[in-house]
Amino acid sequence: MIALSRTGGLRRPVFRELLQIDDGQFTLWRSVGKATSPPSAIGRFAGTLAPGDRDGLAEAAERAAASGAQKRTITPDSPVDTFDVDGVQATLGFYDRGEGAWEALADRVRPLLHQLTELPVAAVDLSIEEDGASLEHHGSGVLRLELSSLMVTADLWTSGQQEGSWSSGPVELGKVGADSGWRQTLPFDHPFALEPGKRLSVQVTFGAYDGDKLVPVSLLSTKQL
Amino acid sequence: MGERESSSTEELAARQRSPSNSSLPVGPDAVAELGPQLAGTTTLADTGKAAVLPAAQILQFQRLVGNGAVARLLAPERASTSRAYAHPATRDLLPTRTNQGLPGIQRYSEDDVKGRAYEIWQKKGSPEGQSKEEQDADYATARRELHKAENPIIAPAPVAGTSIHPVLQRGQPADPAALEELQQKLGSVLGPEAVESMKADADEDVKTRAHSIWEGKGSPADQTKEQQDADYEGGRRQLDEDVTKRAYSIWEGKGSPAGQTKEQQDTDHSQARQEIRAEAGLGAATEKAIKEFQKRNGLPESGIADAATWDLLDASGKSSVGRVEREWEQTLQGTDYGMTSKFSYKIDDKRILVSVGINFVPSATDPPPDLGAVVKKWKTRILGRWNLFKAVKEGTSDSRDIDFESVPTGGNSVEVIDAPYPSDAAHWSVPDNENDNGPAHEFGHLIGLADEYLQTHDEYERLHPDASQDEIDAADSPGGYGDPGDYTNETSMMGLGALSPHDDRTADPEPRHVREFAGYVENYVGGEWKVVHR
Repeated sequence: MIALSRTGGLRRPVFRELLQIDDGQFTLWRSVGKATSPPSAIGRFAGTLAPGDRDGLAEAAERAAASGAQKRTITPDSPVDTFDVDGVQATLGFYDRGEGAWEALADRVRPLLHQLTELPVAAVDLSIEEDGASLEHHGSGVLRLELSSLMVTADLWTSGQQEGSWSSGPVELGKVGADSGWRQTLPFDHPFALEPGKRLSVQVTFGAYDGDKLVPVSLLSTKQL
Repeated sequence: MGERESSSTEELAARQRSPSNSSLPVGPDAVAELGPQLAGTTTLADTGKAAVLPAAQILQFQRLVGNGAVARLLAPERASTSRAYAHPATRDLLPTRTNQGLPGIQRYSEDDVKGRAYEIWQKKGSPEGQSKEEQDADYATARRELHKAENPIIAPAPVAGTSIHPVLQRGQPADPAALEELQQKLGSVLGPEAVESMKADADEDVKTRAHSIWEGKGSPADQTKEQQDADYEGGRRQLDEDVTKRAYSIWEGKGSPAGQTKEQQDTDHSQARQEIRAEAGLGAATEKAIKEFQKRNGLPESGIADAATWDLLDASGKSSVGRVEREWEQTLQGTDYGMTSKFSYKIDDKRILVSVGINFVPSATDPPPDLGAVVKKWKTRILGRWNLFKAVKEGTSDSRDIDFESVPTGGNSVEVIDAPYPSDAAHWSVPDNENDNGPAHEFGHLIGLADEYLQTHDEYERLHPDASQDEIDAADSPGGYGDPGDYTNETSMMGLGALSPHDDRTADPEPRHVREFAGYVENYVGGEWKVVHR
């Protein structure tokens, strides 16, 4: 069994993510959609690793475990990545690649946190259209959401400089069990003039249930205008 | 631990009244646990609460067994689950007296509280007939304000066995501020003769160049006196040229300001000379002075300014200039966080200027389109947040502004990433830091401050001794999403105040955050200094 948990960080919501891989099968819970480029969905994911991802993974994990535990000092404010191979652990900061066999394993496993979101069980993503923004369900399972204090923020950028910032403030959209086909339009009455050449960045925060545990989550989407 | 606790508290109170008193009681727990570890280096006897340990011995303990063990065993009521807080004894013992993580000791008197409460009442328009509750509320506010102004906890202790100064030795380049600090402190301890003799090190820069000239001639073995003198003269000229070139670079680094005064030009030349001297490392005379200092203090005469030498120098010497490279760790919820914070300082009649080297490096994969504009904005916000305080000498009108500046050299490297990845003290994301106090928070780490947003209940109470139970409850996992027991300090710059909008001043740094720098002034000028808003 190979596992990667990503936790903590300065900004809210904090990371609370877990990827588990066993004999080519994986399950993933993801709570922060913005730490990848491009940002991607949050929620539950599962499936079989692609052959390209499986190749060499078991061998890299075996070498890492054989090299023993690795505990590194984490840079203040960094999320913490904990790799676990059959009970042998390595703890690294978000930007820390680790050393030796653990570095090789981390290089293989970290990208999966993002790539595996292509196989949703019960997940939610954020999309920006011409006339607004919305949450959309992906997968076949139900994801329980707590939208009673959902918040949307948007930033407009021009040539790398922020031109303006807008927030919806807390919005009451209740509790829902999002399933196949579910879509929720978001409040989006920002004051920006959306002109070509600018970049619009939208973030939404709310709660989602990982089993019985309510987890704060965030989604980000950017659109080049 | 009733008796022991009250004894320790009394001792700490005595320390406040008399900073030169640096000793603590020893109990049986300390003997049992520390004794075996110290075997062969010192003898630790259970002397009970009436006896005390000398300062040097506490220093030795810290070096050998770490702050945590010393704090836990010698003053258990102050020990914390986090290593962010060091033993109170370090206040007067370790480098620069106040920078080692300080206890929350009340320095203000009941008269101060009364005076502040009176001011609060006046600010409200001096309302007649206040109720008992209203008066109590004024007193509570006064107490809280005084505590916030004076509570000196914050800077984390260095990792056990490390120094907050760079090691300096012959043959290796030295940081200019560190070298000057070393020489000033050695001079203040060894006396004027040592000061004079260390000036001779400057001749080595001429000698080095004269030697190169001699080598350039094929290293002739039988030079005449005249030829040797000519080489030395050539060496002096070369050094002058090097200093002039360096001074020009310094002037360019300031943005090539037109119309510099003679005094400013001299300052640039002086800095240039100092940098060139430092690049050459310790001179023979300074090495000799170190050996003399080590001999007098019973240290091995290595001629190397190592951790043990620095610690004793800090306890006994004075300097208007300093260099801090503090490797520190903080354990939060079972995870060890840490870094090395690096800065230099210089004290004059008006201020202590703290120069924090931040080398902003664009990310290789996600560089910002205009790094200069991003950095300029961040610097403006950082300095606007931190340049708020001054150090004031108790009972006098003597004061020094505590000024921070960000300079491009000096150690801390920050990768600037124009992508929505998380930020930490060494990686600053442009979108992450656009709207909040993130850069000012990270700057706090660069000057050696620990995080305050993942604290335990005990740590929270140490920082907020006057908080009511309601306030404590409200601070516990605010918002309902955190785990019970998470104290996030949302009005502290080093807590989640970091996430408040950059133009919201409720999370400004507090005087306690910069107490360390008043300590450097205190060490150099003498007397008791406190931090107040300008």
